Amino acid sequence: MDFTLTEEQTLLRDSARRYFAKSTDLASPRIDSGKVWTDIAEMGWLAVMIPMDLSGFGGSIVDGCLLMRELGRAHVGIPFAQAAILGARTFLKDPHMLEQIAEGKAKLAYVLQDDAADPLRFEKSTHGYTLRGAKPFISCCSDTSTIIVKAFDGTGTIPAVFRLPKELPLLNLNSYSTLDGVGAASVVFDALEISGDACLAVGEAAQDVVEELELAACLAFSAEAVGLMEFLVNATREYTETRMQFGQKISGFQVVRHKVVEMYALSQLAGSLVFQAADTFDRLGRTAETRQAVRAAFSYVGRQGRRVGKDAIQLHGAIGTMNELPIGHAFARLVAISQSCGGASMHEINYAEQCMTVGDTSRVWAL
Amino acid sequence: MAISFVFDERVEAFRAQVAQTLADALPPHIRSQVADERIDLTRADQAAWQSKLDSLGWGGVGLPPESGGPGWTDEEYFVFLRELGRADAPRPPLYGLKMVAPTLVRFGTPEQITRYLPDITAGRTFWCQAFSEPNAGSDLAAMTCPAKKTEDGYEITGSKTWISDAHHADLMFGLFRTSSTGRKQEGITALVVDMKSPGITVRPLPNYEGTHECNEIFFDQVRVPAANLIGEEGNGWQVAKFLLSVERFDTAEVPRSLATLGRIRNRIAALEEKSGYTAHVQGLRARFARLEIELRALAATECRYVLGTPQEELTGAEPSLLKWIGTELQQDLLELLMDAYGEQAQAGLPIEDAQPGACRPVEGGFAGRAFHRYRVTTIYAGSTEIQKELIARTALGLRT
Repeated sequence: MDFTLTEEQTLLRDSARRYFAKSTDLASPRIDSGKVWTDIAEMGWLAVMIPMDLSGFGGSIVDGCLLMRELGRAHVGIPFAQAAILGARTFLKDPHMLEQIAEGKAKLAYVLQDDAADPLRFEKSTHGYTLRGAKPFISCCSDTSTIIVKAFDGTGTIPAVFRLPKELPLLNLNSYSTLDGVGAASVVFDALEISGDACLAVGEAAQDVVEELELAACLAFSAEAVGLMEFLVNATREYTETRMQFGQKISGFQVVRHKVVEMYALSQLAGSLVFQAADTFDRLGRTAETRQAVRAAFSYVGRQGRRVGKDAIQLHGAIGTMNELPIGHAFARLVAISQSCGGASMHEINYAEQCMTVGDTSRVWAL
Repeated sequence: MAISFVFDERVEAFRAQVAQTLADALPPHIRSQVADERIDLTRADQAAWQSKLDSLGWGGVGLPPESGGPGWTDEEYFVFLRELGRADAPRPPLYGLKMVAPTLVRFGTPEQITRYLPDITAGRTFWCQAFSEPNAGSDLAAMTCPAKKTEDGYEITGSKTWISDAHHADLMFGLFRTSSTGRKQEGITALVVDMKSPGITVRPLPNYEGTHECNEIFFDQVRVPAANLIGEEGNGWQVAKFLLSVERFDTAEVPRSLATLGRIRNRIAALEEKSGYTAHVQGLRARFARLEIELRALAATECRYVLGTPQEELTGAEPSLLKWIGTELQQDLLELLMDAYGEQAQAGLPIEDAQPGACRPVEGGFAGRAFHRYRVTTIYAGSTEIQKELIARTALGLRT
């Protein structure tokens, strides 16, 4: 049992922390994400989970999550998880794409959730595949290069995963902004013809890769949420030490102190739970217990991240709701995370559905 | 060095051996009381179990090997406590073994250690601790109960309150005021008092739900020999701080909460078996899921703090966080257990206390009582409010 970092992980984390402390203004609401993207590509972070024999860092999901947490602490919204964590897995057998990822030239977006009533459909065509359906909300930034989508065959039983270059002709795409500043797009697939090599996996292989990507995405965003919670705890702690009311620092009031302590405790609990889940995924792979651990982590940070964000704003007072401060933006990102990947509450419902079947696994999670 | 929530094979082998040994050694009538969430075991049962553990070489858990400890690593001690919880075995005697014994090892004279420790580890003597007073609860340093210096020791006349288990204790570890000058933390002295001393009156303070754990103690010219002074006169505050913080591994109540969680799971499964996946069962499951997730977060944090983080990286606030979150979660779990049994949880009695042949729906009767009994856990040993103040100060640097 160990919660310390390896030497490499410590270096990675410290260099990330130093970078953000030096080159970004943590008190500013919006950080120049274009510059950060270029910088982190240069520093090699995007290769964190690319295998060593393909010139990557050879890191695990835990390493990926450590960086996600630092991005959260710096409240910088860049599609790092999609490229460095999900992309490295999706394109494991595509050295060219891995190179693009490492160099920061590939910005990926993922659409893994199904609309059960009206899923995306694919069918074989003479030159490849035809896609039919619509995706009204795809989380992606304006310069996304590739969208990875999951679709089902006509029977609705066989899944497949496709990569779609954004500049694909006839890809009916509309970009729009989102509350967390990340951005999104809607796409209508009106009998879209795509080539055969756009299909990354089909059938059981597609099922496996989608599940692995879903677990990794939940963990990555959970780790980002932990970082965001830590940022909000620190910023709020400092604010209560400087803001004067009734002739004293507001941290002099017990009701305020205890609220900060509650935020701190939740960020600590979330951090333990998320890295426990990441370690479980890393060691056990896709097992029933891993799924429960990830559902637990994602639903917990979804619920408690919102609570920390709300309290951060409450303790700041009206200023906490202003555009000029990063507090509201960090909260908006926490809320967006809690609604991603199918939503934190759906993960809690799924956890409840499975908890009797999975039974007592406490020797894994409580030792 | 790497994040890793797993024990090596050696520790897992140790766990398997502990689990098997406990299952074989634990008398069923003791197990069933703990499984009923009772914490008011008779002295005879407590003594029998402690002496059983002692005969297995496990009488001095938590103590260094030269003082009768089993010589385990931190991980082994941690696993032992986990498996005690899973086996529904009573916890090691809190006041004697887990608080007084290590305090004697740290502050006692060699003579005091040989006089008291073997009887504690063998389950021959039981201790209580007398700290609180009517006007000194959370503000412990406000205590006034005086110990007057005499020729051959001290003489106490006054009172103490909220003393758990005083009604079956042989010895008391008490804090008394020997001087009223200086800061209120000064002038406090730790003394061992024989509960059979002339002048001691123990008055029971029964709980509203019908159990008895706490007592009030009146001292009328009770004489304490000088040999019973622990540490130095006037440094009782340091002794008490050590005593209250020495237990690192059991403040979060995770072992007992894991067992309670198992009981809730069994009850929900039984309901589902009987009446199907009803809206009631669905609601219970949703609450169960949320609490199991909360317990996962707590257990991971406990593992991280007590086993996974080097001492120099800790803030000192960790035991407070574990105690606060752990006791609140324990209360939530017992509330769900009570609700899973519904109205019959109000019967209040475990099965073996029901009259033979009496027609009472007593299955789960323990659940209501446990819910009420554990209401005190967020108050004793430093209330939630005090723990939050400690965290504000030590982890966040915030103070009045």
